[in-house]
Amino acid sequence: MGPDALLRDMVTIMQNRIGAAALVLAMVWSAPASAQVDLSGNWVARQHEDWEERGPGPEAVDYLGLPINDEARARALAYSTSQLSLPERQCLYYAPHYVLIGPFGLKMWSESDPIAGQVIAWKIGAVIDRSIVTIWMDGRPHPPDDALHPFAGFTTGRWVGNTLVTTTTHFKEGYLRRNGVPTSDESTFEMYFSRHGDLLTVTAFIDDPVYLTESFVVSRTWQLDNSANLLPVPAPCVPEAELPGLQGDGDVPHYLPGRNPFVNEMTRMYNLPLEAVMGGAETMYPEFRRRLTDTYTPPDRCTRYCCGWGGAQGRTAPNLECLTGGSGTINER
Amino acid sequence: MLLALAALVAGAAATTVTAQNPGAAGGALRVIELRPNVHMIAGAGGNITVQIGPDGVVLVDAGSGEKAGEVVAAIRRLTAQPIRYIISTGPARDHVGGNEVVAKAGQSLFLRQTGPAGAGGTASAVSNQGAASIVGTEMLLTRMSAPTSGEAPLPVVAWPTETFSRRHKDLFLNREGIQVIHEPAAHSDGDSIVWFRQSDVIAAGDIFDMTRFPAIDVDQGGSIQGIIAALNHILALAIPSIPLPWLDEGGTIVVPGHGRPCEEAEVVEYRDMVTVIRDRIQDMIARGMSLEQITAANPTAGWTRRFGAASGPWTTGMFVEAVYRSLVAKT
Repeated sequence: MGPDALLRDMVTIMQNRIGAAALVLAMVWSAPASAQVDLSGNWVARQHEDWEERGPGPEAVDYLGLPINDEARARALAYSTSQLSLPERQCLYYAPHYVLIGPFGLKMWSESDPIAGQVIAWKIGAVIDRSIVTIWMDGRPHPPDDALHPFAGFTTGRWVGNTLVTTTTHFKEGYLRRNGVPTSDESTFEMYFSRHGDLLTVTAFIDDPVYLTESFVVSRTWQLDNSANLLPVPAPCVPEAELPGLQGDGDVPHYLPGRNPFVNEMTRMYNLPLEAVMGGAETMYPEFRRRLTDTYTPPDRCTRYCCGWGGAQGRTAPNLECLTGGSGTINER
Repeated sequence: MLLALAALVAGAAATTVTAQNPGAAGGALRVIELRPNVHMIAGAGGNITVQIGPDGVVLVDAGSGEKAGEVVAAIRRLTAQPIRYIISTGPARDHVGGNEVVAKAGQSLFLRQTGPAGAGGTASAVSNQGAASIVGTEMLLTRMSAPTSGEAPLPVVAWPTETFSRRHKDLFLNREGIQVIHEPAAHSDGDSIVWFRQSDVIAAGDIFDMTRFPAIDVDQGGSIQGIIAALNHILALAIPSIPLPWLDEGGTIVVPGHGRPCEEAEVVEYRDMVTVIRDRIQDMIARGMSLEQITAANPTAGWTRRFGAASGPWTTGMFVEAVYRSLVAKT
């Protein structure tokens, strides 16, 4: 992602946040309370939103636009991607808000009472890396605090006009961004499902009393494509890599305080100030961008992730060739 | 698909509160069904694991004692079977304080009214005066009978009646193997974890605590290395729901000393946290920093808000000091 894209994303996030309340109100008030919309089908992700973050993954240290506190920052800076190679972690799922953060499509279907016929639950299938999300529509309460936290969490939903409003609690620790920015097991989030023809937009508010100073607001849009044939269940997973054992004192890959080698990578590549890279609620808002405007100097050339979503789709500028599949390194023709 | 739905509904119901004591003041006990035959009682100090079957009731820990009567009442609501065993995971009073009342509410398997004196009669030590048997490590008995922490010793009836000094002690009750495994030098030198092998439930005691950093009693033989080793051992025993992780009701359940029941995933997070903090403090020691300097450097950053405490029986400072002391003693 280049500097302009970064700043654009900042604006997008800020617009999301500012507009979210109005958007939700508009969605909620636009139809009678009894309305229900059919959400079933294969909804594919077109990857035009935050492609780098959802696709190849974010920079190792890029917390821009996340309303994190010092605790989250300290933990994220300790994170090493090598942790994912630990045998115990190889099949751990992401938290259910990975519905919004991940790159995959959504297969949705409902399950109904066999006698009365009303919808008992909506389901969001999972391609990989997260569990199936069951949205209970039968009015059941959320479990007590002492209950297990399954990977999927526990989700209830209700229709408000044509908008399905869901609340998810009781999930495990997870990542707000795939570079180790954490969410705690005390997190909750709400989703607002709005269907507009063949487009499905989900706006979410993620709250975490442990690691966030205010709600993280994100919206994503999927497109109906019933030829996609998404599977309802995720792929099986078994740990394959056999690394040195962790008995005794053990070994957990991490960076000691002050020794994360990637801290200044974005400042070098994009000329962004470190305070922007380190994130925090203030980096979500227009005032922060305006403050940077006078001091920001774009780099001479882009060295990584320069082609963004277009490059990933094979649509690049005439004189550029983008390598996709993760590195995104640019080659000049 | 409807079958899957029903299973998920059942899974959700299995985690709900199924019995409470409405008469309890200042926080009712919560009884959580983990398996059809295994429950967890929370709110009486440390968590209590309850296994029920035709042989009677097997408990892991008995709470602090202040609510021991309520604990007995909660068990009575679950089953009319007698309490046969209490397996104590460690010497902390919030786990063994209830031993006396709960054991006396039970009935020893070794009770033989007509047996020869000294071989299981009502007054023998083997039968615990007729009360339920108490299992613990030999070091636990030492810690409970002659505490070095300044606390008064608990009454004899609360002490372990069946001790072991080897790595593990095995029982087969209620149609499943129960393995009591000594984890040396963890929370103390008398700790055990308890593995219900068929129910696939591990009671971890204070080695794994979802409400705070692990309490390490260095003066009673605890150490950070022992905590990490014990957590790694729990990970070796626990099996996650693989190769189908989305089957949320699958996998080993781990009952922490305090806080909600967990699966292997939470133990992984906890082990990683403790290991990272250990590494940080070890590095600071290697750089010549004093305990005061290390504490000021906030080595628990990233987890303090979730597991730390500024006051109370186990503060963040006490945890840092315990890690420091056990590492300095090691080097």
